[in-house]
Amino acid sequence: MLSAEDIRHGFGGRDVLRGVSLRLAPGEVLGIGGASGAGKSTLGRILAGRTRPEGGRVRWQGSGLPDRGPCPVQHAPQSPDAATDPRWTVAKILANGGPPDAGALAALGIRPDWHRRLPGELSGGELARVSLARMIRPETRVLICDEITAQLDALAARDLWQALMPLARARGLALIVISHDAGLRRALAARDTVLTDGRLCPA
Amino acid sequence: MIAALTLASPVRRDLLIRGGLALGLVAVLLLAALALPPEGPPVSALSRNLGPSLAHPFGTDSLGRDMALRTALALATSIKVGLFAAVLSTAVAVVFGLAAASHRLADRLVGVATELALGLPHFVLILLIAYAAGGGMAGVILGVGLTHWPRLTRVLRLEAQTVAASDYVAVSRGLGRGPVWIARHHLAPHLLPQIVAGFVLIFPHAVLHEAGLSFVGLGIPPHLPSIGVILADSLRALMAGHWWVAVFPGTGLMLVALTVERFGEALRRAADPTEGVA
Repeated sequence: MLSAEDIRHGFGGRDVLRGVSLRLAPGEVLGIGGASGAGKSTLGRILAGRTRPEGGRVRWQGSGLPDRGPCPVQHAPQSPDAATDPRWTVAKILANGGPPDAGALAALGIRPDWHRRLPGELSGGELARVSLARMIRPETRVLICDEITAQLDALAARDLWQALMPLARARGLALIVISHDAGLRRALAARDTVLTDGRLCPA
Repeated sequence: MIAALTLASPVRRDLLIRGGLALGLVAVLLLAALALPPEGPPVSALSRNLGPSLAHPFGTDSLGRDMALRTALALATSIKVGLFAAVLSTAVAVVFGLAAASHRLADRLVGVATELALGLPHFVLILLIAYAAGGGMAGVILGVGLTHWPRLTRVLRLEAQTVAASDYVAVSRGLGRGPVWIARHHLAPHLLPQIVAGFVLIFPHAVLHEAGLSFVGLGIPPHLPSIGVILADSLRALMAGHWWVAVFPGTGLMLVALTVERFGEALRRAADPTEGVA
């Protein structure tokens, strides 16, 4: 479904990704780990079509990712604060890609009384749920979770994953769990990989 | 921008009070100028050089004209010139700021222009432009208007670049939103409050520089009411001990500039979503 072939990318003369290839089947949960600066987030952004790689290509069902319209691969960044416009209400954030998915909102525990608030008026865990919920849409087939619980306390992180995983399974959504936390990846992902020296190796 | 103005936060209360004061003062002066004869108070040989009294609270000048009326008319002129100049400066800043945020070469050019304009002595540049434009009302507006854009340009350029590079814009793009939609829903709500605050903050500068230009004789022509003209005229009166001819118009100018400046500061603080109204 989603595949990457020989992805190469660097910053300022430093090669971060040196030929990364992967395949993701529908509904699969893949873990990607690695040290800080190993290129986990860069790879995540490339897979979602947010960054154009210097070499190699990302394929979606045999061709490139669509240029316009909603992308089937959604990238959820680490900080929900940075990923939500501070001037938008929660209602507007949730309706960004179209009318919000009531089932997803309920599954992620998004309360109706949040809708009139601004992102700054929600806790980190609450905002993380809002940020995720808007990406779970009929068009979305892959959700790249890029350290989405790294800024949360253990309890809020556990609650979030416990809400997200059944929802993803019910929707047939494939997940890429990017995290430096090997324990978390092992608990969530059927297949776990690690980025080392710019290459993706089985963990 | 100011969605629900309640007295809830001190930032909002500040904004309401300062905004009311500034807008009230400006409105009163503009209305007074409309009600008064445009040629100013009549010349009177009988009431020359009178000190402040009940009949003439600001005293009279060497031609027997009432200084309170002259001051009000002059302030109204300054406000009008200040408004035109501030609109011009803000417009330049918006165009430059948006151009810089959308194109790399434009960004370079705007950066150089901004540094250049900030590096040159402010008043010298105003003098040059006003002189080149032939002086008078148009000269003042052009001179002041074409020199007050750099600070706001910097603010808008930075803000636009920050928004354009933000994660939330990337998310919107991923959800299928195009550039026009993003400009309308992400960029505009962030820039508008900055533009309004910037405009209000340019205004007092424009008013003060108008007075400065008119004072050195390159601004408002001497037959029109203007604080700069009044202050230039008052030099000789001051020697004769007629302090009121300079003190009241000068204080009036300072008061207008200060009230509007404080309103602008309150607006800028309220424009910050982490601090004020969204």
